[in-house]
Amino acid sequence: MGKKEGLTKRGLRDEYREHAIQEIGYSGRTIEKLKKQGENLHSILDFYSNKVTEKEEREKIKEITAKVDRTTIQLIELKLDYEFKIIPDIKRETHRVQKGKIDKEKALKIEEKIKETSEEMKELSQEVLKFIKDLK
Amino acid sequence: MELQKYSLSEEFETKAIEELQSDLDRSKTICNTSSDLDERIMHYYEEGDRWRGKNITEIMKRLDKAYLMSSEAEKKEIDVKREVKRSTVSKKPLKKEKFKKIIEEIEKINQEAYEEIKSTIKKFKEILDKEIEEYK
Repeated sequence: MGKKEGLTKRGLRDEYREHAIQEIGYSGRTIEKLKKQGENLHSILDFYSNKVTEKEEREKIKEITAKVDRTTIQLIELKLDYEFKIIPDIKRETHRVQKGKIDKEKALKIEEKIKETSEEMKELSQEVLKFIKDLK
Repeated sequence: MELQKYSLSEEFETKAIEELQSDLDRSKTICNTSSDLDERIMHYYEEGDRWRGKNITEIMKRLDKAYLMSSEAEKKEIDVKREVKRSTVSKKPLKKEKFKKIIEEIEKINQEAYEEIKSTIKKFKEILDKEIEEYK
């Protein structure tokens, strides 16, 4: 076997383990922040849905709300996956009971999804902002 | 599982309590997540739409099940505290088998609740995708 990179085939070295735990913490906070943003957008839209009377505007609010909720739910799912799939692996490794079991690919895939969701949330914020600006 | 590797020692107690805390944190996450989703899904409840109504009822059932399962896991904390207290008073190490059994039970409940929540999220996403599609 050739030289293996990362976590999949080797036990975690102390420095990497520390790094992995920090990264996980950072991702967890990012997810929480984005989730909060989604909740805020939902509240803003709720506020305007009680104000607008035009059918077209009401429909638009419903559409953006569904999109915001879709993205927020995606974040909830990512948080669960982190907590149930990634963190236990890291902790197990920290205890040095089982070695080399962290699925780096899995962690990276979740990281990638967090990035995508973050972009989505940014776009939704802009959509909400534009909608409010355009309100008569 | 992991605890079999440890002898009845202070180290075992520390690891066992740490592990248990992680399991209880996960139960709490499940409880919070099901409340979060519960609140959101009600937003989309429309009796006029049979497809939606049927799916939402199913989601609610699953969410309630996951919530109750996780509450059950949280309640086991009392058993654990009792064990810890007993061990402190008698100055005898924690009963490894008993502790292990509780942890395994919580892990099992958590895993089942996690599966329930994951399938709920999948269904919820389908509802939202349909909703978004309708407004296009």
